[in-house]
Amino acid sequence: MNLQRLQLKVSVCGRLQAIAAIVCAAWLTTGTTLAQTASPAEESADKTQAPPVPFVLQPYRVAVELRVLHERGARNVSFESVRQEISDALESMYGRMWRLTFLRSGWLTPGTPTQVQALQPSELVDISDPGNPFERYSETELDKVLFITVLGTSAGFAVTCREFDTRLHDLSPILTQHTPQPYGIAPVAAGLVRDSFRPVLKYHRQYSDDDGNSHIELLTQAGELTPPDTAAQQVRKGDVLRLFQRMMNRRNPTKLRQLRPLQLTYIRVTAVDLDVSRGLTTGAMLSHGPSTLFGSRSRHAQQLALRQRPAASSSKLRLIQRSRENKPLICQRVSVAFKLRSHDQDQAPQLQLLSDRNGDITIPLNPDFPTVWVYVYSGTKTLARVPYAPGLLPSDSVLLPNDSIRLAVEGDLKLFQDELIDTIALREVQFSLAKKAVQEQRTDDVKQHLAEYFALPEKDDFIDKLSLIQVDAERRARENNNRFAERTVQQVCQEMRDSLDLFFNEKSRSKRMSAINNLRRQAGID
Amino acid sequence: MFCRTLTEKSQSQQISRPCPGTTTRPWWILVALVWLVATPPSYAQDTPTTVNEDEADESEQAQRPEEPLPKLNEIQRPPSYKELINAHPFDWVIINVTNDVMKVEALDPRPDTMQRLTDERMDLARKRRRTKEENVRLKQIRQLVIQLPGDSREFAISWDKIDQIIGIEELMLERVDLLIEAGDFTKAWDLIQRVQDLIPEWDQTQLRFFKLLLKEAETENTEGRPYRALALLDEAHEISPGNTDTADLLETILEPMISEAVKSEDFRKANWLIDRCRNTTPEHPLVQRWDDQIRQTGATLLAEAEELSRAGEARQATRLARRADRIWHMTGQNRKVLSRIVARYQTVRVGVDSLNNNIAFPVPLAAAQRHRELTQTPLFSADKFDEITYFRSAYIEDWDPQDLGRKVTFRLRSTRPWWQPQPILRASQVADALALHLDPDSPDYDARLASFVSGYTVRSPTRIEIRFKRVPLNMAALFRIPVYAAGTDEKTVQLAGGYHEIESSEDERSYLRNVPEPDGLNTVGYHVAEVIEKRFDNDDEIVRAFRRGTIDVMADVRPWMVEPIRRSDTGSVQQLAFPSSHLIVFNPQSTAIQNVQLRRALSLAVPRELILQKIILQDDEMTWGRLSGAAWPESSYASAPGDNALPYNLYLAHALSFAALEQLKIPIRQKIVAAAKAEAVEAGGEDNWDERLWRAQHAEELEEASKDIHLQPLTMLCEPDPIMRKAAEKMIEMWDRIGISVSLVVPEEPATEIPHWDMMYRQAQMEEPLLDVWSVLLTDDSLDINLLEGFPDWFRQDLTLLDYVGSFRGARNQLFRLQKNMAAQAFLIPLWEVDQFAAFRKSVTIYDNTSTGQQDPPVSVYDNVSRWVVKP
Repeated sequence: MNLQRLQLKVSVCGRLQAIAAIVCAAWLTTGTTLAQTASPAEESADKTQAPPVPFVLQPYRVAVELRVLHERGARNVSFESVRQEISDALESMYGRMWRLTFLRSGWLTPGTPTQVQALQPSELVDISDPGNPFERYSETELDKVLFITVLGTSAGFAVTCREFDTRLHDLSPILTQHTPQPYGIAPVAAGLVRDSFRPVLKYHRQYSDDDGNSHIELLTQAGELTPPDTAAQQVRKGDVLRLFQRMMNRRNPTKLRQLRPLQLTYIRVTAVDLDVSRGLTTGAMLSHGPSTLFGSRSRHAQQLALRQRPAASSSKLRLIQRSRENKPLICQRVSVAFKLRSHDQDQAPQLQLLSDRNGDITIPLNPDFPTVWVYVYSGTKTLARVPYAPGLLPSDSVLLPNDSIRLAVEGDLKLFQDELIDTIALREVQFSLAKKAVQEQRTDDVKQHLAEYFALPEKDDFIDKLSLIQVDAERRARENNNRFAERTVQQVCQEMRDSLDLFFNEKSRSKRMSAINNLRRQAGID
Repeated sequence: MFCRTLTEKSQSQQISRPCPGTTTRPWWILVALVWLVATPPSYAQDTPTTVNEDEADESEQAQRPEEPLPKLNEIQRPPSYKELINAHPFDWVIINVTNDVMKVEALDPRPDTMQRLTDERMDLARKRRRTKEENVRLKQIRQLVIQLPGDSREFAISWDKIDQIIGIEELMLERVDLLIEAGDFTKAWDLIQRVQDLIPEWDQTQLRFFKLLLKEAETENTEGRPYRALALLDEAHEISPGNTDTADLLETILEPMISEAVKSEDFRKANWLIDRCRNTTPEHPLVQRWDDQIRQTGATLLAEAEELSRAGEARQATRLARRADRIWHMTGQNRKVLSRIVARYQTVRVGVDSLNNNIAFPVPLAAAQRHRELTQTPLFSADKFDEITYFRSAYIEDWDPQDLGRKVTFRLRSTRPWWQPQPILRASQVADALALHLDPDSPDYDARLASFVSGYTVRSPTRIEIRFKRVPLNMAALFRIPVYAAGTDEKTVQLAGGYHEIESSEDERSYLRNVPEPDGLNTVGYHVAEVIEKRFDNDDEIVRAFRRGTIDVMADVRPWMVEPIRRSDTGSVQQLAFPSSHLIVFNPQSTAIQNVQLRRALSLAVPRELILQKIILQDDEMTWGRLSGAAWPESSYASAPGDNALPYNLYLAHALSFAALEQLKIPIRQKIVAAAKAEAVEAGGEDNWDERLWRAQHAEELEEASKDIHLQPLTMLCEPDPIMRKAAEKMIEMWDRIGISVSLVVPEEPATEIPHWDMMYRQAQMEEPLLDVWSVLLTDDSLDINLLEGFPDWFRQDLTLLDYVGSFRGARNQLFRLQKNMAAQAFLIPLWEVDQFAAFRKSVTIYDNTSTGQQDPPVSVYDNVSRWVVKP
């Protein structure tokens, strides 16, 4: 029966899904988990223990930190009733996908929306010692913590929600919604929870298609456990995944050694299997570099992704100079391109921006393009090309190389070019005037114009000036240990030198000299 | 030879050629002469004077019919104006008995020819021993030698035949008399001048002249031109001082005028009229009468002012006292009273050329800057300029940088000197002001300040600590922010400044001290309480008002007025610390000036030196101005050393203008080439296409396709200043010569909307180039980074790096670079800089901040105005 099912799927979903289906079918028939297939480290650890629950079957262990507060003049609602209603709502929304508990930790007092908003991951986990059993929410016990605050006001109730992932030490943006009536609290809270909740996915494999496009497959936690409410579907096509790498302790592979959020690297979901291999998600890797750490074959690394949906209508991206992190790159020209992969054609007109005095650019959310490509220019050079998912985080930053020396040379060369243009123009003017003077038999004027012609700078003068610009810039680059700048300066100066050679070529020079000699003869000048 | 006998004359006639134009000679004159010489002379003659009468008689009578000489009573006397005005000088010799009139060439000596020659003859004849020369002279004048008009011959007439000689000047004066009576003063004047030319300094001429002036003054007055009449009377008075006719006429003219002036309370005019009378006729009863009346009015007002002063109404008292002073020039005890009242509430009147009421202009005009200076006292303001600008604070006692400059603590003044017009600020108020400047949603948001300041803490009511993200190079310059409190309602703003506006009209605007000086001080302890700006239509009116004392200060003295005012005894001229840099800036939002070659062409075509010499300074030596290569003062630390003046090269400008036009044509040509290429490639592939060859073959077609493309006409905005307007017109004329059409817009009328502009001719004074260059270059105080969009990246970097320089040396180098790049790419066109001056009457003592007598130049017109002292 399994083989029949497999054949059916091959015909329907094609090769990619078939691969996923094979893995899934293998698990169904042999009891081997996809997670085990993906992670040899866990496989070795499992030899001494009972086989763990496969990742796609692992329900989320979710704790809710619920606070019910009242301002003066607000209608009173009991904590218990609110808790019960929210619990019921979440149960009906997520069902067996979640193992839900309610907490009332003493440290979060009073737990106002402001307090929740100000929460930092460092307050929730021990950053200096990841995996510390005394941290507030241990990943061994919980996958997610939801901070829900119901604040009764004279106008109704403000419900806020924020999610914390214990494995990835990441807090979601806070969401707030108002409801005038007490009976609206639970549905509103459930809606906020649904929007705050960020499913976790695990790297499965990577492959390329015939067009050379790279694809990544990931497994969704509890992906096989379909939520009763379809609105709570974990991953949809077009969703964006933020990527993390968890480096585990070599001796104790369950203990986190280091957590690496992979900045400006995303996966945009291109397909989600909802039928056969539920929990299998395919996406395109979007990274600023030619390669990424995500998916690297390391025994001690866990490759996780967090599906996060936009919570804001825009994001601030700060451009910072890599060598001097307190120096934002002000007034930098930025283009935002709407396309999936960097080498794709633009799907919509680019957005042109300038970074402000803090080096920030505000990238608006475009519902049709959850990820965009941000190009940072510096003069004639593209300084950076990074993918970005606006709306996920309120602010982010990009470190960029120091291009100031090359850019200054670009300015110097512009002035140099102007001088060259002036010289060319004046040569022509003086030559024309001399020619006219010959026609009108004004010998003295001919002499004067030709003298002024020859007083104009020559090629050697320009070469000297160019050398000065280059030498000075190279010196500054060497002083700053900026090999990149040194190379680029040499390159642009060489280009300018080539232009000089082109203009001051021997052929045009001798042609002009011949014309001048002719003028001299006509004017009777020796 | 002056005198000859008739015999000699006859002989000479035979050998002499007739004079040109003398062929027609009245025959009757010859007859008369014959008759005259037939009678022997009264005196003995040394030489025979026999005349061949028959020959002469016969020859003349044979040729012409006989006609008698005109009789004196028949001839027109005096001849007409027309006959006299251009007449060759002549005399009438009246013959005895017959009263015949013989018109002869002008005799010598004159006037009174007959009397004077007779006296001379008698004197010589009486002498017993005569010299040889005297003998010759006596011989000459024994008879009257005459020449007939148009005849070169000379004739002698015996004196006893002559009744009288009437000179042309006598005839002219007779005609003058008639003309004066007829009221034809112009002709009379012409004739008098003619007589004056003939006989300088003749008393008869002076007499007629006086008569003419008197009569003309009378006529002018009758015809309603009393000032002309007065001017004529002044002249008449010089000719004949103390003449009663003059005094009478003066009274006739002045009485109604003075009466009218007093009635309309124009006492300045009344006094002037009285003084006029006093100057000519000090004892005139009119002088005494009106003096008494005016003194009485003034004294009454002064008494009222004193009453008000005692009642504590200092402003009203001063107004009345000043009015009394204008009515009547007080002396003695009254003067002391006036001084006391005026000293308590001092008012300085400033003459300005514009109040710029509601004129829409992209940058604050001079009037707006003055207004801001009076009404806003920023946390720090410029104190002195000497290569670099030094700053002071009216509110902060001292400031203490900490943590290598990353933090500063301001200690605010807890006491206020009595003369300070600003209130004491609390640290919380400064914090509120900072909050407004750091809040992106506030209209006062200062993006640059926000990029520096990371936070602030109020430590005590007088201490505020400010933390920086990065260390500002010039902290004081960064904090030149107005101090508003939350809400920024008008009252709060006023409290933060030194003065506030109380009255405003089209021609006058008044500002009152925010915190008045206390009562009970010594008279010398008080300072300016009220500033009144008075608008005048032009510079000449301002100078006139300054000289008259209608104003105390001239806010802006033109360069050519500096020396005359300095030489005059009226007051002093003070050079301001900052010269005014004249610039052409471009609208960063205009697309018409994006082309760099176009901007450079505009820059190169400006004959800076010529305009500066002939229009701006009106001085070829350029004493108070110089060519400039930067937007900031040449003496600033930010100016690159050496000669930075930009070149004037019309050839190159023309070439660049042509290049700019060619660049405009590129897109359309590229389009045609692309179409041709596509066609060629489709027909035979890439190898079938040679662009260079195609372009060469289709050069005419390409030219034809782009022939309708022209440089876009530009609009230049100019500050509403007549001199700047002239300079702008000259520049536009030059740009027109290189094919760039620029229209000039000078907003002079109130408007709500700034007119469209591509470029603007403006003045700027940069206190700190490091921070101010942005607002001047981009015509923007909001420091909006998006305005840099049209600039190349390398230039943006140059500009933004200014905020990140960490050392003075680095700042200088960066500014040098910026100056070079701005000028070379014509992102801004520096033109010239002109020294600024203000003139102060002697009655105004401006504050000397050095207490050494070597006063630093004020940084602006109202620098330390709250410490000026004004005396009546």
